[in-house]
Amino acid sequence: MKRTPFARRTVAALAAVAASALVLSGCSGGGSGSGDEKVTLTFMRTGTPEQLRPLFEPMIEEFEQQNPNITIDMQDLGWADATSSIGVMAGSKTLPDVMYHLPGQVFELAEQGLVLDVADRMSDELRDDIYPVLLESGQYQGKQYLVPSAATPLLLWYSVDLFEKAGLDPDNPPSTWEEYLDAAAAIEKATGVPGSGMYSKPAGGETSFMFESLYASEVGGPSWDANAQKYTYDEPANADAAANALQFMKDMTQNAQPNLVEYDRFTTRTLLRDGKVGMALDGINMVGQVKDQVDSGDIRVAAMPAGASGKSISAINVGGWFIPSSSEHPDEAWKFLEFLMSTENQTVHSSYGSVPVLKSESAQYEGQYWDVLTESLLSGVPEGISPKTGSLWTTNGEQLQALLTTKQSASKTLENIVEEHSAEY
Amino acid sequence: MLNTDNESATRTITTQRTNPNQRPLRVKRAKSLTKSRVEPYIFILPTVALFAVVLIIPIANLTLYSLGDSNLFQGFTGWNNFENFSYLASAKFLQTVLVTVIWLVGGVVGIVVCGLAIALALNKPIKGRTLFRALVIIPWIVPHAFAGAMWSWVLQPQFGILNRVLVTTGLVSEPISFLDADSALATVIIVRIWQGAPFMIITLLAGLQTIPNEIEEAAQIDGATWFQRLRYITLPHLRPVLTVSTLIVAAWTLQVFDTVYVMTNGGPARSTQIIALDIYSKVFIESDLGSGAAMALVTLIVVSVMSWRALRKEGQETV
Repeated sequence: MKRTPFARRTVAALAAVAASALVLSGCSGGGSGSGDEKVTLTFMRTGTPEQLRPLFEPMIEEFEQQNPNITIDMQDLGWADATSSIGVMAGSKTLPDVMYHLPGQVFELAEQGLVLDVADRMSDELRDDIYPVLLESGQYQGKQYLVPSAATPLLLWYSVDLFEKAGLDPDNPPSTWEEYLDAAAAIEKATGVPGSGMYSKPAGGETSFMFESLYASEVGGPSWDANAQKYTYDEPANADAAANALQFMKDMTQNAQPNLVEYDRFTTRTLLRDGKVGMALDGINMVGQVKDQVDSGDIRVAAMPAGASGKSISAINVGGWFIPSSSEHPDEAWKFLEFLMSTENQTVHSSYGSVPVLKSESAQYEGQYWDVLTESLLSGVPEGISPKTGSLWTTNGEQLQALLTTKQSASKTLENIVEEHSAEY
Repeated sequence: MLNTDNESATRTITTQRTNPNQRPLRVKRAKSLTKSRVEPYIFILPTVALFAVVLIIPIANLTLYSLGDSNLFQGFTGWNNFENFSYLASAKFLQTVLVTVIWLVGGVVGIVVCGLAIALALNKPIKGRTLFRALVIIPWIVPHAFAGAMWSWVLQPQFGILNRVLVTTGLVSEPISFLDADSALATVIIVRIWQGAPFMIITLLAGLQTIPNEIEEAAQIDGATWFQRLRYITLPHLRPVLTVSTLIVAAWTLQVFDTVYVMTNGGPARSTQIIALDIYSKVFIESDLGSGAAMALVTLIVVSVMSWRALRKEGQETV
């Protein structure tokens, strides 16, 4: 619901008149005070406004009805402008009262003292309802700066039709790296269609996320040491596991579509949708492009194939709500944030592109699709995020691009990553 | 003029000293002198103020950020012993410089050559010349980000129209990857030439109009070939326009960010990482405002010196 400037001015004028009347009549105490004060909260959810407003405007209307003294002013921010805009807003102390963004930049703001730690405000009920791996993903240096409200692990998406044509059983998708490579080769051999959809266009987080997930599954544990604020694959003890994960990524290109340097995750999704690749590793966001095929059963989702540990462990990528320390109404901001995190509202929010964030949300669903998503959250590990994520991901993206599109070997790639990370830490 | 006025004023004051009756005139002239000295500064004050706001303050800030720890949220936070400049000695930055030099030279030479060739063609009295002149401007008015997205789709191996045409006509058997590690830089340079050539065409066409027909005709009668006329008549006449236009195009080419960002984001494997992208990446992706500012400052100094030398040389040769 959009408030016009005239309406805002009218509300403000009425509030001023009411406040003056109270002062003149000598009214004080007796339950009035900050609780009755008219408050306008600014609210921002990074993303596509045309899709987000229909989700949030009914929630805002309901919240305003329940809290007549609080008005929510929803503002828009696209992903393309987010990084620079947040920097400008933070510098001028005009960040909204409640905001959604990704942990890397939120932790960077937190390091400058610009984000509130909400650990003490969070009720036990909400804390217990959020999947532990997600809750942990919103923490930095032991403080809960982010309340996760969107998340995705890496999942295996595959075409039932191409599986059947290749003589593969769609009910038993590849569960190990070896089976994945065999299935990709079988699909290509039987149908002429590349078995594996890969992407290497972005020089940033997308391929880094894949590497991190594959490595976690190979080593059978977390890819990020939150205490040391370092990737565990940078440790010499984990070099073999890291090199194996990189080698698997390179092997995946054997039966992938040609010219994969020109594909990012988004364009690879269209290949799977159109039957031009047999499988792809991607997050839940894939469903935005293949929803009809998923609904009809033509495309299915499974847990990411397991590495040497035998466990399917994915890094979990999150985004969430935070309250900037510049907010003049942190109590009201938290009240609204808590409202957004109710099972009903979070379920609506998840439809924008997330696995269930709350256990109570998962409980509403049943079926193979939802079981896979829930299981991936239970086995997943937090993605490595710190204020230095930008530079670490840039390094990873550039090196992984070289691995996937040139003759650079897995061992050389790891060597370069470790060397550059050591300078960046 | 000012000197003459001053001398005359001085003479007047000297002679007036002997004649106290003329004192009011002396004061009046002195006031007039002060006014004439101050007046120009008053007139240029708004321009200087605007100049300070839009140029000097940002450059001062840039210098400050390059010399210390700084971030997007708080700006400058403290000195750090020129640490930001250490990136400028890294292998990564040297690769960026190499890529930028290839990008700059390839782009500018391409724009000048293509621009000159098309301008010469459009200067001939051909049918539909006005329409062609209007058409060639189109790439120049297309926003850079849109041009990047458009060319990405045109060149895309799976869906791109160019590969479809090449495969359908049998010119190639497999789609070509125009943006792989070996060809990406050449591809983005070609797109830059496509974008930048119209400006050169417009300015050179204007320059060509100023060449008197009689000289061309006289040379033709004397038996000068087309190349000789180009070398000894056309190019010398175009030189002032060509110099300034080339400098402008070079500055623009160095500033280009969005086209390459959209098409390759500096990849694959940094093969198209031009300096504008490196600065953006440092500041906005790696949150390293100091190194970004150091790179920008050094670039600014190098480009300013080069432009100044080129303009000075042109000025000397013209005189």
